Amino acid sequence: MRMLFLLMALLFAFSGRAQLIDLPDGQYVDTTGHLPAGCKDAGIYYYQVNRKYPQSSDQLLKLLVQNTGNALGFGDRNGWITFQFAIDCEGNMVRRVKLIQSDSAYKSAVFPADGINRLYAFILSLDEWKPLVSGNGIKYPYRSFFSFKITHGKVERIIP
Amino acid sequence: MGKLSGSFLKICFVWVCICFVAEGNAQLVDCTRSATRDSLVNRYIGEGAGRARVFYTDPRWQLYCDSVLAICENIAEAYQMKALPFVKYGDFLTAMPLLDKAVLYDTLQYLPYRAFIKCIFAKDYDGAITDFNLCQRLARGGGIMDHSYSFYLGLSYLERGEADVAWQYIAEDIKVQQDRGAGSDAHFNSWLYAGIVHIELNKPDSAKYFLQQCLSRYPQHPEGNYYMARVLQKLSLPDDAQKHAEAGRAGLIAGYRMNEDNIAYVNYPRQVTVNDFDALMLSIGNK
Repeated sequence: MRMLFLLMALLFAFSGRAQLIDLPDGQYVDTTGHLPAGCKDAGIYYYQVNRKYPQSSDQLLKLLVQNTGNALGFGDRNGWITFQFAIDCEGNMVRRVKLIQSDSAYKSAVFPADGINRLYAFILSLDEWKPLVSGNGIKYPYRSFFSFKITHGKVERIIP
Repeated sequence: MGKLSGSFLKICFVWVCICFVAEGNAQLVDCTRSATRDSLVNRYIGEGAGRARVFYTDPRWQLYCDSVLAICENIAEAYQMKALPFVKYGDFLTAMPLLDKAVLYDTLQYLPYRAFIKCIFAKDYDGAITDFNLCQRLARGGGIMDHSYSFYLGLSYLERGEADVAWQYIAEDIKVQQDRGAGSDAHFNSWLYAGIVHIELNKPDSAKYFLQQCLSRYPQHPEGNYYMARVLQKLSLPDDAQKHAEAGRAGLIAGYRMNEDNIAYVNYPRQVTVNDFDALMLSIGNK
């Protein structure tokens, strides 16, 4: 019985299966977060309010390489992995994150879960999001994303 | 027998009516006419979505586009409009098949657009080069979003790490702009990327010349100043480098940008932020 349990645990650890959540509007990598009460979604996107992440794409890529060595277990795969999420009224990322994966021909793809989780951990480590406050002092959340362009298993570019 | 023939006549009558109506409808909308297609886009998107104040960020936007395509499935513009929100939110899986449809139905109009999206938004430089080369064959000397196809080919090769090829295209882009007639001039971002390409080619003197051209047209240009500072640092001119770094940083904080239309959505190649200036100024100060 103990051996069986151990075997199950090992299988679980190395299965590489993402703990992804399928919802009617797509696949999510995390659904544990939500907008706080009083922080009402007004359907605002980062590009409408000049809220790209304050570090450049090249800086972010350097940081990612420093953190992960760009070793994500993607083998020789190519494509894009996109994480869509919201930034709440205080400038915190909301942990309700939609995941979109495609190959280099823009067809649906599935990348190994471990690498996806590392990319997600990297996004969670970014803490320079700027909150959005209107002229009359009302705070709003806004929607943002990161897309990682994967070339031969490595992150080659970070979008936007 | 009489009843039977009466029923048969009724059925025939109804069938003739159905055929007549179907034929009439088919004649009402001629999807091969560009005027019809423009009219549908105007009716459902320009006026429909416009009057309802439905912007492309609204999920209902898709319904307005679908209304157009339900009548004529060959309207390229409707596919491009459907793709817009996905392009701008990093969903290339959904966006690109829509852009492919737009290209299928109006290649001359939308192939350059798809090429631009691949180059600037998706950072798909191989795909952009393929598309822009085809654009060049279809309409040599053409352009999109204020720049020639050569400009984007130059950017794509630069980002692929092939600076020598990039320079051929950027040089062509500059020459075409200068040859347009008396008083014509190349865009400051053409000069900027000419400078960046020469940094990659390890030719700091040439890079300095091209970045000077950029800054003479747009002195506050953040990237122009940033890369000029890097070149001057390399040329062992730290004081001048520091001045450009300070000028570029101040320009960025004051709101000066590369002045490209899509800069709000996506970073252009080698675009910098205040953090880049801080790191550069630190490295200049430390040397």
